[in-house]
Amino acid sequence: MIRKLFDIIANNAVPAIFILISAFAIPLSGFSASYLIQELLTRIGRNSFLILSLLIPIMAGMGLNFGMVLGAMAGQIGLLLICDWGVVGIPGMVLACLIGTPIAIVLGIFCGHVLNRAKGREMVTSYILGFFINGVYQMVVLYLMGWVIPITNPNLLLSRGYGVRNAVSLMGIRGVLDNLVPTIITGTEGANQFLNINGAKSFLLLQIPCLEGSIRLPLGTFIVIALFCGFIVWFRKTKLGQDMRAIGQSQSVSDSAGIPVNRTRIIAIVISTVLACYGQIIYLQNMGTLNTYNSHDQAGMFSIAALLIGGASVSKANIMNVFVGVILFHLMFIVAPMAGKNLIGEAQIGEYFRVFVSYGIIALALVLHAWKRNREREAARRSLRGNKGGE
Amino acid sequence: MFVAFLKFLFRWFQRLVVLAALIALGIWLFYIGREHQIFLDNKNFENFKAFEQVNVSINGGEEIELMQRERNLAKVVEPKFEVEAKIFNDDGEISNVVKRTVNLCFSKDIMINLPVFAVSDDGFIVPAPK
Amino acid sequence: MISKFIKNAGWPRIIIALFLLALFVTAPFVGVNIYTSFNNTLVRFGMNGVMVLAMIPMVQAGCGLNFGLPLGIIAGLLGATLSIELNTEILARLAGLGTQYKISWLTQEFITTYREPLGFASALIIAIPIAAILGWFYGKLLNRVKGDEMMIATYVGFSSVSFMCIAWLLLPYKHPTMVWGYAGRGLRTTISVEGYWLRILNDALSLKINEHLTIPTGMLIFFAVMALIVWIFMRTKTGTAMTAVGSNPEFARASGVNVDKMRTISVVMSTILGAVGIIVYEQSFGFIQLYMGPFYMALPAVASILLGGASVNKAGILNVIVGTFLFQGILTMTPSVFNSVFQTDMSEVIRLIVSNGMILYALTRKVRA
Repeated sequence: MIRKLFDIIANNAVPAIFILISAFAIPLSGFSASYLIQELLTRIGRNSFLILSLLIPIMAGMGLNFGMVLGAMAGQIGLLLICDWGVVGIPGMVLACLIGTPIAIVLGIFCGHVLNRAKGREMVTSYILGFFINGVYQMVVLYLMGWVIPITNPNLLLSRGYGVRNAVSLMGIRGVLDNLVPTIITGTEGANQFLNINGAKSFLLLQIPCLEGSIRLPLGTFIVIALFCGFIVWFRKTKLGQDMRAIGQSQSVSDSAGIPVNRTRIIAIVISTVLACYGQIIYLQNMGTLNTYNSHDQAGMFSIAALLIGGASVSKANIMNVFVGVILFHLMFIVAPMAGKNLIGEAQIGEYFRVFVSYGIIALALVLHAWKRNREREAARRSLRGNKGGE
Repeated sequence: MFVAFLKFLFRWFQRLVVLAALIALGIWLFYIGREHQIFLDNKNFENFKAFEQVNVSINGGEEIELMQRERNLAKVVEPKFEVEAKIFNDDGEISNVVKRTVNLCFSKDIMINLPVFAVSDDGFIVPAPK
Repeated sequence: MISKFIKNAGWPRIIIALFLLALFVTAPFVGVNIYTSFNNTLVRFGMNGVMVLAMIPMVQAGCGLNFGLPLGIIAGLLGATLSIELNTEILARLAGLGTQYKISWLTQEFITTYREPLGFASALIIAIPIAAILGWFYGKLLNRVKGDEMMIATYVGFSSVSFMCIAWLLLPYKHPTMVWGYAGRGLRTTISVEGYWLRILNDALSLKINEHLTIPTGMLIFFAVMALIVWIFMRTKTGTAMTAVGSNPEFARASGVNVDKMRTISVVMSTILGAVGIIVYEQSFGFIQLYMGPFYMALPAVASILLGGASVNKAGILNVIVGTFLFQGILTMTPSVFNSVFQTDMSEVIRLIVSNGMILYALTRKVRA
């Protein structure tokens, strides 16, 4: 009975804590509902794809793929190149994906091989691997670009003639996917107002009766995310997906069942890395600026934190967790600084608070998972011993 | 044995086709997605004299007004575009309207010399300034 | 013979050692002063040595590499800031004790003369119990998550650093050299230790060889003492039990060793050494770095000990000495040599690749059964 209670709490502790925090922080922040909805929609569009890319390695029992930053770096290299060539719009984005894909595949294969050598501690290894590849990435971007790899656009290069600047403007592809199908949600009154200002351009206009102001919906991105969710649902049912789930259950059993364990694990990581590459490109087309040396770092941490906040664990995650997580995490992200300011008079506190929460939540989720697993292992051992004693 | 070899060849052939298709897609995207800077130049060029005023519109877009010895910048995506120049005489009336289609192929930025553009079908594209 | 040596040492270590050798050989030809480089390497060795030493107990007890070192560092930072905040009070209290218990040498004059060493000692004395308490909880936590220690340690470190970011802003520090001038509260991001215990170990007994090379004898002796303490401890009954737990927990349990207790002791020790290590670092560096400062400090320490030949489950004093020397040597030599050869500073990138490459290499070794 007590164990059951413990399990229920352990399974849902993280989302519950978050709902509590948000319930306190939202009124304190004093933001309007339409502002919050607008921000949330933007952030769902921006981040979901990245977070979804984490699902497949979890399915294959490889834990949280901290190596997704590898994919993010591949995507950024693609973006830097299209920026230099001046390719804009949807073709620019697709081309960036096309360039990023082979890089992400190579990095993914490398990551997969490394993780196969470090079974049982995939997470810490992929985490360090992220740092290691970050070093290589910096070498490429800071020293080889403009020297070995031709970069001609002076807006991209440092004044010394090689190496890419820290902040690169992505105006050419900013919001192209978000605004592919321009969609506005307004209240009944807002609709007329909006049409008066903007004229009857080709907007998709949705109306919700009691809403103040107008909200932009990044429908294009949502469609891509929906397609991706469909892909994951389909993928779970394929032979490969089934194999991955079997490996996630037990590697030795799958091995004796004739599943090529190592190969399948590598494929899982490659898929995740490639998807993270696309995710980062979608993320950055929304942001509009690329922080050459920091963007990918944050991508990994925030995605993992969001997924865990959505109630996922190291060994179990589904699409629902992604969306619950993205909403809860970013709700806190939006309201924490304001709440901190209104509560203590210092926005900096809220700023630090959300960093603390991101790390703390990952720590908590990891602890709960390891704790639970060790208890189960202990219980299994005890029952084994008990049986022996009975015979 | 021979069949196995054929199968092997066929598989590699398939992969090559996919790879080639992807590369072709990349080149095509590069071709159609590139943003070009078009410098418009209303200056004397060899023995072609600059106009008093010329209004230029690219792909039927907003008109850019260039007085004598002025230079301006327009941006286009896609390599093929239409330039329409309305040339004004000294009295401020439209004396001539010239319409030409320019195809950039793979080059990036160019400059159009309007005095040449008004009279000649070629030779009006000069290298863009740095 | 050679192949066996390579197999024992592992190719990454050999490459890195050769790289360092190449740097030292090139240095004189490109106009880098070899004495200055050696001096810097020695100083950095002393600064970082104790923090690398902190890796030993946990590795030996089978808790893996202590990526949670920032927790110990935080204890050290608390000790350091409190020693400055309460400096006058502590000294006054000491003088009071001297008169109360009639301790003949503890006079006002003595206290004034040795104001700085006493301040440094007070930082250590405050930091160690804090580290012990934090380490005890941290050890209890790690006992519950056996098998996942390293990942959890990393995030325990990160979350404690970010938690302390809030605390540094809110804790009621008052000392004018430490808090933000305009607000009158909230600690600054960097605090100078000048006038308190700046270079207290570096300058003690220091030997000036020539104008470029000064041996920081005091700091090296301090490191040697700490190393000796660890060395002796690992050979006591508790220490050997700890090693037994690390190499074979089942066997250790069967022979009556309390596995969890040994692991907790190792974590406490590691945390205390981390706290002491950061204070040694700060007295040489001259500044206390708060907020996000300690965030990535575990990685160089972890990389150092691995570079010295340690593995995820075995480490000794020699690994610490060799590793710290190699790692800090590379850190000092690359910027100066690369700057003169390529006119650019690649040290940051090389540091990232070397340190993380080394950790990666160690993590992918087959664990012995």
